Amino acid sequence: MSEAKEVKEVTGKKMEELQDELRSILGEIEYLREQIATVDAMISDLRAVDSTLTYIKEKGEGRSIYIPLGSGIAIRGKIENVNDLIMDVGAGIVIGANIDEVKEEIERRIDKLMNLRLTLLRSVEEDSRKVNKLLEEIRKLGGRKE
Amino acid sequence: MIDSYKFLELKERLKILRDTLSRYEIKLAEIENARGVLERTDGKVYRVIGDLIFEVDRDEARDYLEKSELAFKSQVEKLKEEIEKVSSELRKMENEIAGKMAGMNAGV
Repeated sequence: MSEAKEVKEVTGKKMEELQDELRSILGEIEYLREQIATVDAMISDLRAVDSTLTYIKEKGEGRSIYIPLGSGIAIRGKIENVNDLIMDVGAGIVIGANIDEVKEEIERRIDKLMNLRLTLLRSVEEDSRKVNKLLEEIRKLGGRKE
Repeated sequence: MIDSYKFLELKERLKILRDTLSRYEIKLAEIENARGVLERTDGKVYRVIGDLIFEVDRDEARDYLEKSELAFKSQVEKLKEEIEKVSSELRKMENEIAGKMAGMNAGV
């Protein structure tokens, strides 16, 4: 094999490797962005529950409300005690708590999710830097190939 | 000859094992979180069984969490061993493929 052909082959192989790596990192960025969107949706849900609890705390006692049963169907009921709540804490355990305890727990969950969001964002930034570096290498290699 | 069907099957198996491992690790984190909430609150405690919610005492809840944790930890260990086994088999096959490709290129 001539030297020129050999160099071309090695360059081509290196280019393929870089492109594979690029595809893999781009896939990872997409996955991380999906995770961030999921975390955002969870934070938004928690904030919605928190504002409902604030309203119930201020104006809920003794009020009649419609309690959802699912599929858009609700039954009329009355809030007897605004401080008699239960919250699912995962792993099949539910804890009885008052409004303030539940709100504290919500804040704790939001904090954890915000930290997770930050970690995910940092990973996206790091991956983006890797992508830029790889693109630069591919550009250089492309020039050499020509 | 490299069995490409086996190679793809192993890759798929590895993906399933990793997904299961990640699900179990989430379960373990959930247990840890539930334990934390259980210890820092003093309200009533309930267990969800099916769609029903039963009141239980704290010791029963702690015991249940501990048993669940042990069960998941043992599953996680088994999964990690299995993942290592499948990964090493895949690495072996990948090396074999790379060797054959290099041989083919040299022959050109």
